[in-house]
Amino acid sequence: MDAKERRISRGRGRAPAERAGRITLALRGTRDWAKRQCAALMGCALLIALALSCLHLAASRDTAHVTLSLQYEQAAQGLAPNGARLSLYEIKSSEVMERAIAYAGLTGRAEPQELADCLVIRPASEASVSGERTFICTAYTITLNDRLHLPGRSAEAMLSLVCKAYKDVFYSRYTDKQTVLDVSDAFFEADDDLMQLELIRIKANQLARFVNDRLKENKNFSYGALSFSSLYRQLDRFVQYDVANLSAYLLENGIARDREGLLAMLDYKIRMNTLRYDRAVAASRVDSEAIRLYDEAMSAVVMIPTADADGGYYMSRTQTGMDDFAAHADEKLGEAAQVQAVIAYDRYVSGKLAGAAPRPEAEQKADEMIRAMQARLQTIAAQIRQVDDAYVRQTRREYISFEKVEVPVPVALDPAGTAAGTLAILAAVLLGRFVLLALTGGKGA
Amino acid sequence: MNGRGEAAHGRGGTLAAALVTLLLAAAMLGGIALASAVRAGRTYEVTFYQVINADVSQNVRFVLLTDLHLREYGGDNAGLIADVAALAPDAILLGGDLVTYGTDGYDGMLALCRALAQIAPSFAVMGNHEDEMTFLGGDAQLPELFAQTGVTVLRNRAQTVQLGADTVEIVGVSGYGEGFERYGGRACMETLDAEHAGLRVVMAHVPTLFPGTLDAYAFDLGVAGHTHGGIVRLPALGGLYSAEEGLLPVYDGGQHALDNGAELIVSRGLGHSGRVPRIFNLPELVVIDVNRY
Repeated sequence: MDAKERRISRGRGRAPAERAGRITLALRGTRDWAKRQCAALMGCALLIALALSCLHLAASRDTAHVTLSLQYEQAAQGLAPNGARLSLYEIKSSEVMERAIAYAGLTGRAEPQELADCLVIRPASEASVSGERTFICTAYTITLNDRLHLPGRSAEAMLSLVCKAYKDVFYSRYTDKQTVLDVSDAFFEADDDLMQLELIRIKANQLARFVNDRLKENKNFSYGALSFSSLYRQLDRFVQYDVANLSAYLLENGIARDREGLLAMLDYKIRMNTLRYDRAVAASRVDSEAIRLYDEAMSAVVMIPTADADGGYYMSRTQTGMDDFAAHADEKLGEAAQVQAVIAYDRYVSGKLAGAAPRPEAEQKADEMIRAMQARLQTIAAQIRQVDDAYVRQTRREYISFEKVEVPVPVALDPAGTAAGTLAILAAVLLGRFVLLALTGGKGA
Repeated sequence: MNGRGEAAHGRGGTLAAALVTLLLAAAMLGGIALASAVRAGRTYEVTFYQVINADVSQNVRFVLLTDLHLREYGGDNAGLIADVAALAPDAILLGGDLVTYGTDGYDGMLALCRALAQIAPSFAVMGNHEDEMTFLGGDAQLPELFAQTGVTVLRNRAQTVQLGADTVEIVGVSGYGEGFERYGGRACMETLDAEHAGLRVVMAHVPTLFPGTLDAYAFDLGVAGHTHGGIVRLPALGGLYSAEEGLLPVYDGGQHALDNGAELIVSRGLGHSGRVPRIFNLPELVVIDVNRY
């Protein structure tokens, strides 16, 4: 009797109740085995999910996002605040990248192009709020995938420095600057009193233009007792009365430290301006002659390409070359008149200087007047800066803003990726186990 | 074995499997934590903060070092010094606790201060460990030794410094709690003008001195350290513990807006002094850029 027959005869010889009990035990054993397998599988899944979560969390630190918003009116036309064309892709320019690397203290340890390659800039939305598909976006998402692994600098830190670098470039290039308000003593250094006066006049006019630009934006802005309008009035009085008074004093007293040099310079200036005057008058005459020679009958039939106010070309019958000739002639005549006035003034100054005898007390008084006016101008510039700082604090800092896009931990953990990864690894483990079982004929179980 | 015994055996098996899984998970987390602690003992990261202040005519950069606790990065802190130099600060702020009370010898820190003072004007406040060494440890020379390195030690006093085109006022406040009143902190703050032209920076070692106390005064930027980032940092929750605030502290690091409109920057520090290592909490070197725009 072989082993199989022995097992059958043993089974036949037992009572049904005992057989049923054994079956129940066998089933219970199978169930327990299945439970243990399930627990082991769940444990494995938990461990794998934990490991994958850690990996995802660590990987999320290598990527950072910010939203850049342009917050000024001209941005919707693709322009900078000063009217220049603006391209946000300038963020990846070598100038910005070099600045960012320098800010990170990594000059020489990272290349601008490498950093630029880690940046992705894309519009924050695909359509405007009105639904237009073609529009100029004013918000962008900037992503930095830190493939460089710069020492001690996280992706978030590097991206913040890229934003700072771009902001610095943006403000220095596309917005008005306060450098005109720097009025140091060195600015007024010149060889002669009249030239110093000219420098005072130039600086006063620069300041007046600066304040006038601010007035156009906000004529009511004030800071304490100071306002742009009061400062503009101060500057106007300064130029109209104080500068004019000093000028008259210098000329009436013929004050010059280097009289010969100044006279020679004026003489040269008069000669050059006389040439300019002659050239302008000649140009005006040529244009006038052209108008005279042009046949009136032609103006009705000749079509000429012309540009309209928007820069669009069209063929014009009415606006013939005659208009251009006339405009040019007028312009040149106006220029000639201006140059003539300058020549007359310079001749007047030259005459005064040539005929005056030097008087030390008058020269000393002129020096005092010049110093007082320089100090006054410096005071006005400082007041303008005070008001402008307050104005900048209130209005200017928000041309451009960066907002960090936080990736929440549950998202950074990447539940979908974690689940898929866990299932894939478990499936691979189970497959491996079945293959092992098949190869060992169940002995490995 | 009867049925009940087998069921118990089955439950025991499942329990054992769960226990093993939990142990493995704990071991894995422990391993990661250990690796993090080891890393935190060797290296640091640079954290950049940006503060907008129209009182400066051009951008001003501060580097803030706190809570070194005698730690060295590279021989004689050469790595740290090189990093600070490369960051090109306009001024360096030392937020206290360069030394560790109970551990003798701080020549390395004095050498570090000498090197930092060569890079940029440097200003320091004393931390609780320096104070303890001075007043409890009997090392009365300590503040003077640090002052001799070229670093300006600010103990309840203000100092102005010209940084480029800007005049910046830096105030160093000592003490915490009663000590703020008793040792002259409040008296120092009372002497400051409410209306100040230019940037004013207030340094204090303990960050919780700012909300409710220092923020009653006018300044633009506050800096502090002390909390070591809460020692253990948890994802999404931040620091675990600080002595002043207990569990899950608020002022354990980062940038905070104060009631007086100023910004407070709290450094997580560059070293540690307790028995519990820094876990998931890399030491940090703080860079603060005060930008006009």
